[in-house]
Amino acid sequence: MAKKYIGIDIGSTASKVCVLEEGCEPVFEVLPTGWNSKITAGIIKEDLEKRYGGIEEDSQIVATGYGRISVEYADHVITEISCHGRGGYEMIGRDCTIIDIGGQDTKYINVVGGRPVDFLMNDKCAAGTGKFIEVMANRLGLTIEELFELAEIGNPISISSLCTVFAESEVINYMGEGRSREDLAAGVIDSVALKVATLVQRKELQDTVIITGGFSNNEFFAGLLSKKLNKTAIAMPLGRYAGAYGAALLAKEKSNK
Amino acid sequence: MAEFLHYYVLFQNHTDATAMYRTLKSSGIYAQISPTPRELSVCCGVSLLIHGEDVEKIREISAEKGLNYLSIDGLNNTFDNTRHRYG
Amino acid sequence: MADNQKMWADLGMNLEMHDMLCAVLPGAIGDVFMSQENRPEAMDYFDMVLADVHGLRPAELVEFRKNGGKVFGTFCAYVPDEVIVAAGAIATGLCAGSQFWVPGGERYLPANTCPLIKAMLGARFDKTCPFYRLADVYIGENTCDGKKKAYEILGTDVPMHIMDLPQMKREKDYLKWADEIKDLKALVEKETGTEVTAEKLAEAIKLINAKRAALERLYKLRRNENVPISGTDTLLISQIAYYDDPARFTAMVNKLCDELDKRVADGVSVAAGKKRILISGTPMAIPNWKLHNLVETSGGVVVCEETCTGTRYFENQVDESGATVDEMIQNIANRYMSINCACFTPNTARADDVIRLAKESKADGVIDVNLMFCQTYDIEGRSLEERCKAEGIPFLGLETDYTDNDAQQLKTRIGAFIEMLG
Repeated sequence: MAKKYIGIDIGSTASKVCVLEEGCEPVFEVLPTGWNSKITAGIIKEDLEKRYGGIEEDSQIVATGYGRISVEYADHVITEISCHGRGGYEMIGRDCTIIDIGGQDTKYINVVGGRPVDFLMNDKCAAGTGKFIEVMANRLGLTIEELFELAEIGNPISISSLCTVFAESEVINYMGEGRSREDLAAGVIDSVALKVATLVQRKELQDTVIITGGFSNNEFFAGLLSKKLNKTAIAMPLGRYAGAYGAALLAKEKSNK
Repeated sequence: MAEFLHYYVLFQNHTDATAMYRTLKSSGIYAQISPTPRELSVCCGVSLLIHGEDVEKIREISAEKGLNYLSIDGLNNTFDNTRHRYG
Repeated sequence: MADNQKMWADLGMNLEMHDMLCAVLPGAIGDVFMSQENRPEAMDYFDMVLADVHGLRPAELVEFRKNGGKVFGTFCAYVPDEVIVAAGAIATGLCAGSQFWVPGGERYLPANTCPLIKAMLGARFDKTCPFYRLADVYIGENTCDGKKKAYEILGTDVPMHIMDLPQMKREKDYLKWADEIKDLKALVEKETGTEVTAEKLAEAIKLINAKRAALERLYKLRRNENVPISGTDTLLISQIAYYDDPARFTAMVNKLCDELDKRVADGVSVAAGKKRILISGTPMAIPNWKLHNLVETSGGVVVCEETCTGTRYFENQVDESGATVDEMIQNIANRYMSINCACFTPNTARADDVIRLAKESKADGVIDVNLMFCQTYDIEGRSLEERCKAEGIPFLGLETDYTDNDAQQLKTRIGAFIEMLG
């Protein structure tokens, strides 16, 4: 059996797995992280063993993401910056700026020569992250998918609070005023795009900007962000797997060294 | 004596601790200056971290040279550089 | 040690509350310092000072004051110890480095004040730092708005003297700083009843120059390819510099350097294969070891600190050629004005320092660390980043406070930065 290179990205919200095998297309899996990343790591291991038999002998595993240290069976632990940088670069096939919108944080990664050369992460605040969208969707009684759908047909109401908790109060006030869900949904998504654009404005953007993370396949969001950045941000259909894919690629590089 | 991860010599004052430290060092016995672990004494200050296998030897040397100390105690504490708790 | 408890009670400290600090420090010291491998033997002196940080040196100060000596509490690398020492007095640093003191400070200051300033007031008014209780006069300096206003609150039952530090570096500013040092001299003379003569001042200049030279020697040893001492250990030494007897401290640093000389000759490294990091930014008062611990457990080794607990404290010497007291004071002023703090404008010389130090210490990258709400250093972060990038030096800007809760977030950033250097 050919050697497998496995990337495991334990994010705050979702955990992603990528398996690379010689001569095969990469295989991607996603599951919710749940409350305990050790348990999640265990589920992933069982699942891999079920699918491939033993994974100890003929595989090289790299763990990444905020729960990376919970993957006790990993051969290497690498930060999500390096993994997203590597995975995003491979997906687009050229040097690029990656904007990753994760469950808890938003990252800017600049990749030159296939390697991250600069990065930035939002500090201690959920504004401009998946968590913000999740909280607001819950408040509006929508799923995240529905929120995006409604946002497309609404006129954005400006949400000015920087803090997710205060922004939620702001949305509640607007709801009290009887504003439409479409307009509120549009306001929420617009605010995320604005916060992401504000975060990265101090940094250099290359000609190619790609979006990874949970909403990376959403063309509407990509269009909105492009407007704010004044530069085309490309939606990546498999963008949420960029970290796991990068981890798997780095696993391969490590074992070839 | 039960097996502990670490052994500490406790003192009344820092003069006694210094005297013991110098003697142990000049006798080629391992000793490291350490804050007194909370679990062993509520009085802060200097203690000496020693190796468990040296405990008897240290007692003998102290008796021989008239070195003062309060007690030698074991403790199952760990030094974990990834705990990231700074007080 | 029972002696400490009695001393702290005599000093009017809040024993119950101070006890909470005593309860957590040994664990933190174990994790940060004692977990390190292959430490130099001569760290034992500094371990001793640290193990009994609120006992050993305070006991000496108690004794000194019993015999009529005066103690001056200081907060900043700009305050010239030379003048205080020349009057036979002692200068000591004051506590400001732990989250333990921050809630106490927030009773007096807005929450969005830098943690160092909040800790300063908390340690003072919670009565949990013996040094505040042992100072006869506090010497402040207006190096930032936060400190400036905090000093108004700080000086209640202990006299507070503020040195008005110029914030530009024109010729008249050097003269003005000399004037301020003359005022400090007058104050010290009045408090001690001892005249600062040319002879005594010359001696004091030599003493403090020797202390700076010892630290410089230590920092030069870190430049070796085989790093002979960890950044964490060196930071501790820089922190203790503010508190210890200068002559003894100098002797102990030199003794350590003798050992490090041997290590260098033998090719001993405490950081084989690790990435060399220069840390720039705001001061790290004892027991703030967070960044060093994070860097040195994430594949890095700190080889230089361009901070007030680093090169800003010891670089450049006082010219010893002055003959009169006035000449000496101007020479002292010139040396202290050569420190490049973000409270000055313009302050491009600080970026020059960082670039020079990064090259001298062969740093693989620069991590610029700002204490939260330190506006001047925060603003300089951007121009510093541009300068470093122009020189091809990888740069990471971080902001943090004294709490533990961002440790994992910082670890991800530091880990990613170090991976990037690999």
